[in-house]
Amino acid sequence: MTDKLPRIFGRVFSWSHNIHTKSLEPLIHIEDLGDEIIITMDLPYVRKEDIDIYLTERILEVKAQMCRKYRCEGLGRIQKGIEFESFHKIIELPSNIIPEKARSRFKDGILEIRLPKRIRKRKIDIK
Amino acid sequence: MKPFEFLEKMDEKKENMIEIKEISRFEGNSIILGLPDVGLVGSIASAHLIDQLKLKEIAEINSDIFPPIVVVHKHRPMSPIRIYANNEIGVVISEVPISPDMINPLMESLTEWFKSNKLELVISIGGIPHPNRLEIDKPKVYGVSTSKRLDGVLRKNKIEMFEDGLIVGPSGIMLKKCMEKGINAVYLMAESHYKYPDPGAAASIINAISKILKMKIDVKLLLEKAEEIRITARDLMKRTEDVMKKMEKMHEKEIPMMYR
Repeated sequence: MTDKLPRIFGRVFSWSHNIHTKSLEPLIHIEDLGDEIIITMDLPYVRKEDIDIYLTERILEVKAQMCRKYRCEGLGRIQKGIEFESFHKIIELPSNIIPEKARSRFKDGILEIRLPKRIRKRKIDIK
Repeated sequence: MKPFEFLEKMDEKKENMIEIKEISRFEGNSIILGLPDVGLVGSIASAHLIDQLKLKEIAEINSDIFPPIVVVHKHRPMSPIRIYANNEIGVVISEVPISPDMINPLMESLTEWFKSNKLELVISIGGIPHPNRLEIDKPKVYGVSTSKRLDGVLRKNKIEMFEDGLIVGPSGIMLKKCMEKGINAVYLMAESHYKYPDPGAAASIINAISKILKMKIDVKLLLEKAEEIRITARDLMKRTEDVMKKMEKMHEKEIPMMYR
């Protein structure tokens, strides 16, 4: 089969990648739960031990090495033969977070990072 | 001129702008509609069906309202929306997301084509976003149909009925138009990631199709190639996500207020 199958999706290839660093930009989803920001990323061909997560109060950077190179085949002249070996993404966070309290897990190629927000809130009495 | 008659005329004009150009006659009796949507479930499953069942291209769909994209395959330009088939089954596939202004005219032309081909069954396939998809090993498939008889077919094949809710996008419109035209149709939805290509959900859909059509379609290779598909489908997923945002796909997550 399936030599053909992925090509159906790969024909109209955008520039969400960096040829020089041979890295792809992963698909991401950011959810703001009020007290916490949850970021997930799709990282196929990646194993848990090959993921590096860097965090400041406002910036999240994820670098992930693929366990095998992905080579564009069957595409147009421009993309044909390009190889990718990692994912890289820098995200500016929508609020300040507490880096020490961040948690992450990796399952079925999806990375989930939970970032508690640095919020100073005061309860207000109702009269 | 009646109020808003000009809008009706515009819609009519759009319908006429869709051309289903047949390369060869469709001789099957069922068709699968797998368009880009949640988790690209329909697109991934359709691509697998085309490959596994060795379907041949029988028609391409052209229109001035489609984005100005031409796919080049084996040095020849072709439309990004095409129909593949053998003498039993057909598959409608699109390599571009279906934007809101394309939905009604495209579904009108397709359902007219289904009717003229006297199809026994139309199966639209897609995903239904599940907030805890990561915790699910085998995504469940839900179904909605146009008749009680087809409800029975779904139940017999242990496909859970989609009782109440909203369907946003081409599959919902297709289902409604099929019902109006008396065409038997079901919409199968697998629990899926919303924004990530989901070959696991596509495999669940193919298993459900196998049961309904009593055909043996292997999903082993699809699951083996899952990671590669997730990379190659990335850009189509991104473009589909933009279109889903425009058609307010998130409405599907709402709790509907139902009048009974």
